[in-house]
Amino acid sequence: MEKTAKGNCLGIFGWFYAGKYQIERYAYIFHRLSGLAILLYLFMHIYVTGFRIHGREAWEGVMSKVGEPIFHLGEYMLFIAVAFHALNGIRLIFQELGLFLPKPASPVYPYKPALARVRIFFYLLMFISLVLMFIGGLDFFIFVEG
Amino acid sequence: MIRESKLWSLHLLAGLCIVFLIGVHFGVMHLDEIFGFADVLSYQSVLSRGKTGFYLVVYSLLLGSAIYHGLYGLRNIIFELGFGRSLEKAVSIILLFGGIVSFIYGEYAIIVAFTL
Repeated sequence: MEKTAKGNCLGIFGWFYAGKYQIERYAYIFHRLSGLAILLYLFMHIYVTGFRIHGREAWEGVMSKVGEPIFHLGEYMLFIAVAFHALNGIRLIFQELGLFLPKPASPVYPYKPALARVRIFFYLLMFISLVLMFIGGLDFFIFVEG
Repeated sequence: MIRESKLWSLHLLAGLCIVFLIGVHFGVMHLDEIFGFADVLSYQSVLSRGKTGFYLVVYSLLLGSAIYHGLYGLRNIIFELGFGRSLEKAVSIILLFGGIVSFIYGEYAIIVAFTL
């Protein structure tokens, strides 16, 4: 039994391919990857913002380092990850709580998978996240303070 | 021992909390021109924000929720890889310890900034 369970465990490779994936499976992969990226940033952010208690010089010194263009681009990439992770996370919470799920229907051929019947909600949330990414892009790259 | 279902529910609750609080955080940090805030990253602005009770609460809640949500998520990802029970226990202890240390450091900075 143990051996079978281990044999079915694809580990980290299972994130990327384990058969015919639907779009929600790719959302699952990006949810994990974006979550890991945000977690890494969180610890850096806690460390960097802690410099404010060491006085003006320490704060301005660290801000001049993280103010470089490469960090600015990284910050926008992080914003994309946050927008996706938050909106997809809301979808997962709704599904976990049974909200916005369609009513049970008779299994009439050709069968429509339950996921396909709630896919519109997924598309709606992804559209909102794309709008947020676009607005964020404007803020990060267009309306930058002189 | 806390039941796994309670930890999972707390993970969801922390996620919702973060969505709301990070909205406030992003609003202040990135929509500063719309809301008319002064240079939000200047030392003076950072200091004056940190001295208000509102930000003391927002930052503390965000810090706790984000650390818990992130580390519990990481724990789930690691567990999915299919390690043995003893290794899972070690992972839980390491992540719990890392989370507590990070929270203490972050909260220390928040409280010191509040009293400056």
